[in-house]
Amino acid sequence: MNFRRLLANRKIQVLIVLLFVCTFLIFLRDGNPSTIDLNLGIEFEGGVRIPISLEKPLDPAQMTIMVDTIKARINKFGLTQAIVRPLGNKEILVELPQAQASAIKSVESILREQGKFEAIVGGKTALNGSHIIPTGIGGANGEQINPDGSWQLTFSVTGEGELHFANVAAGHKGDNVYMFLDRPQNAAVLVARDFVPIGADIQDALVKEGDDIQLIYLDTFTPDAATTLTVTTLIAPQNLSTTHSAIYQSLKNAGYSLNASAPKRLKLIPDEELRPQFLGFGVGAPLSSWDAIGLQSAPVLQVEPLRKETITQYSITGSAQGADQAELKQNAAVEVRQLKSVLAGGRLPVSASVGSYYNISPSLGNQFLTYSFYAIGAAVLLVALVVTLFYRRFELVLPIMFTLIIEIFVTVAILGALGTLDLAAMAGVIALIGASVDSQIVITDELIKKRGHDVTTKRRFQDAFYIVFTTAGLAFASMLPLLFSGIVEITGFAVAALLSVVVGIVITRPAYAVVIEETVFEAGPQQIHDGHGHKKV
Amino acid sequence: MNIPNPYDNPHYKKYLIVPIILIAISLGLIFFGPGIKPGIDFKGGLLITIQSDSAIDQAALSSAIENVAGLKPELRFFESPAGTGVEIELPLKTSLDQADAYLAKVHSLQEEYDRARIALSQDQGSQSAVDALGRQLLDVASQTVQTATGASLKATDPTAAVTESEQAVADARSLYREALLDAVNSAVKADSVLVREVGSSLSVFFFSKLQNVVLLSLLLLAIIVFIMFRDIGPALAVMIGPLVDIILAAGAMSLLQIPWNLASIAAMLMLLGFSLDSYTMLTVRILKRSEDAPAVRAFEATQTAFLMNAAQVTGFGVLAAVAVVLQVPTYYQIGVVATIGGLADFLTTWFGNAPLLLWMNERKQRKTQ
Repeated sequence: MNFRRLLANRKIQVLIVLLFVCTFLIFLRDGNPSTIDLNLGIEFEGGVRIPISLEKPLDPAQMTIMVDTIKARINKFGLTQAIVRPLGNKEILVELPQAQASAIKSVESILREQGKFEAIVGGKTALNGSHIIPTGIGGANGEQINPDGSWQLTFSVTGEGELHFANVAAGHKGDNVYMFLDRPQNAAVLVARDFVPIGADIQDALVKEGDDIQLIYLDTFTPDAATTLTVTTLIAPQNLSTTHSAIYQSLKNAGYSLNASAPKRLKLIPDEELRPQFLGFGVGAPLSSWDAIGLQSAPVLQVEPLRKETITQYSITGSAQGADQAELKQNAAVEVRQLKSVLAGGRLPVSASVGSYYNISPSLGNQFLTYSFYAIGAAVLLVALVVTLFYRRFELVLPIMFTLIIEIFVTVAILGALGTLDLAAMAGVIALIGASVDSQIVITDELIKKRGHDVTTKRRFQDAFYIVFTTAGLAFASMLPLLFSGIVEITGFAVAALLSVVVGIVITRPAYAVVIEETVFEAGPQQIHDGHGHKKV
Repeated sequence: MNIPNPYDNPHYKKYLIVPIILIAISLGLIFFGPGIKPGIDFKGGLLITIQSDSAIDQAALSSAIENVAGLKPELRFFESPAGTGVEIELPLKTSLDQADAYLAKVHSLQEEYDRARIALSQDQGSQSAVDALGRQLLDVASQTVQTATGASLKATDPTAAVTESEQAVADARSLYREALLDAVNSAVKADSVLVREVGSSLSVFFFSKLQNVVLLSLLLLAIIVFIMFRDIGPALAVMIGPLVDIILAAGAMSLLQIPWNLASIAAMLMLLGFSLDSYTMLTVRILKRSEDAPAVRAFEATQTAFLMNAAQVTGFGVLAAVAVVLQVPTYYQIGVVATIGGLADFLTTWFGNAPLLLWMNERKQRKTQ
């Protein structure tokens, strides 16, 4: 075989590059070559998987709200490293890497929990969650998004809520209505001075009758001051222990704990949550949101409310930023979505329940993974045996098997790097080990088959690839509807099957054709015609 | 060993008897024999799968679960190198399933109720309509709470009633599951616990969704086959093969009592798509080529198909074998169904498709003459 000629071939070069990429994906993504860096499913890693069933199917926008809400609550609950993702339009999957016996209970309480909404005007609570009619937020006629990025959201308030709002907000026309979700009680927030632009007025947002949030600047805060602090929640930068170790230590000594249920809680959050957000730039830009204190929106009261004690519709308008029309519209949609979620008190858009539950210990998961790889090995060896018995020519069998191994390697690498290698996907990989060599068999047979002298090599390849492409199309068509069915339990299987077809048709089979042409023709044309040594069955 | 070309035999059409008999047997098994039972994916239910590295006291487990569920569970034990395992199957708890359905109704009534209230505030609709919806909401909420917990509804306000019924259903559900898991844990030290609950609405969803998936797959396959062959005859010949494989696999499922579920249907679809490769190859070689005598082309093509099927079945078989060893239900259902279908593929190819294609070829030639 002329290796130099082989290496000069574009198809072989593509294959080699892909092999390097896949080797990198499998071994070097974390910089440590001794570990396998694939995303493995819970079945192989050990952990808990809890599918949440929704009462009715959701559209993509509602699904995003639902997933974001659950994610936020799970993080708040301290279940770190949880993965939350939608499964089709009627299920959401929560996965936790450690097997925690209490996980299912936690997720259940997370689903039941509701956030606390409050709107504060002039330092007083003007509306709370019980005043808002959940099904009266937005909806078909209740929300409007314009091409220029401006938007409007309408929501309904109960009669009692209307009266309360009108009483509190009277005389505050032109002031901000600060809308909070889970505003911390008896709290202080510790920020770097440069987070607050000069001239910006953020004090107003911190005021609430009897429960102002204290604003403390890091540069004026001393370890001594920490000891005199009395608030029950102190919100501070995530890297406080490294940037201000003395203050951190002093807070610890004063009884502040990172534990969410501690009587004096130190809540460390990333800078992007700690930094207040303003509408636009420059001096006097109004405050728009501030995650650290739960401030979600701060629209300005445009009218003097009337007291009428009936269900009343209010609307909030705003205007999104964006570079072009598409971005303006998209950002406006995001703003409306967030606001809807806030008004609903972080309430889940539909009722959700937990039924199924999967908990597997890491050691058993490891065993599953080991046996699955044994199975891949066994299947490859057995297929090699079958092909060898049939052809009885190593120069034909070796490239077939080599192609198969590359195909498995690439499929597993892509599956595990871009998706998740779970049990169903692994089943697909193992099951299709035999089917993958079929195309190589078709190509080989077309090349070594006895045919008329006028049949050129080019024609043989055309004939072979006609069959190979048709069968790939058919295999693809059979699994594609399964992929889009939204039935997650078997999606991994469909993905593995489809991926192996794509890898085969785009990369490995063309490269195989190059190699086998080289092999067969090196053996001489005589061999080609006598190739039916396999009439023995 | 040299096998004589079976397609040289002028009576080759008689080979078709073999697949026809097998199809008849399969259909007999499916429709008049044991039939194929739906698994919990399609009939709804609760399946608890446990793996443990210590021994399991079967009687203790069974009675512990019976105490909670009120009926004897169906238990299936298995041994594997990964430990001992048991599958516990229970029907859906009817009260919970019913309460779920009521709760869904509560939510849709709540929407109507709120809409009516809002409409009223804008001087549309009437107070009596709002009141009627409110009463209806309270009624259904009361049924929900009653069914879920046996207690009666405390709330008198429709909005509070919604919250109370949500709470009641969630409580009942979590109590039942916890009691079941406690029962299991008291009898077994589990390494892995898989609780699969398929409610009746989910099983209906699975069923209708998969019906669509299968139909869509068949349609896509038919379109591609027709585009490639541009002739109804060969297109039909290609499609018949996998359909026969599937009927035979279904017959075997009936015989081995493998239930219909998501995994076995996925396996069927894979069988459908991936077994088409040898049928396509056969059709191209027998109908679309003119070198050699048709019988020779058929014989050579069936030999290639033999190797292709053998390779495929090897892959499927390894999966089935691993599944038996590890007792992973997903692997088992996919592996066994695909292996049986793959084995059926040999017979369909040699005795079904090849003679059929030769016959079609003969007719075509007669026509051109």
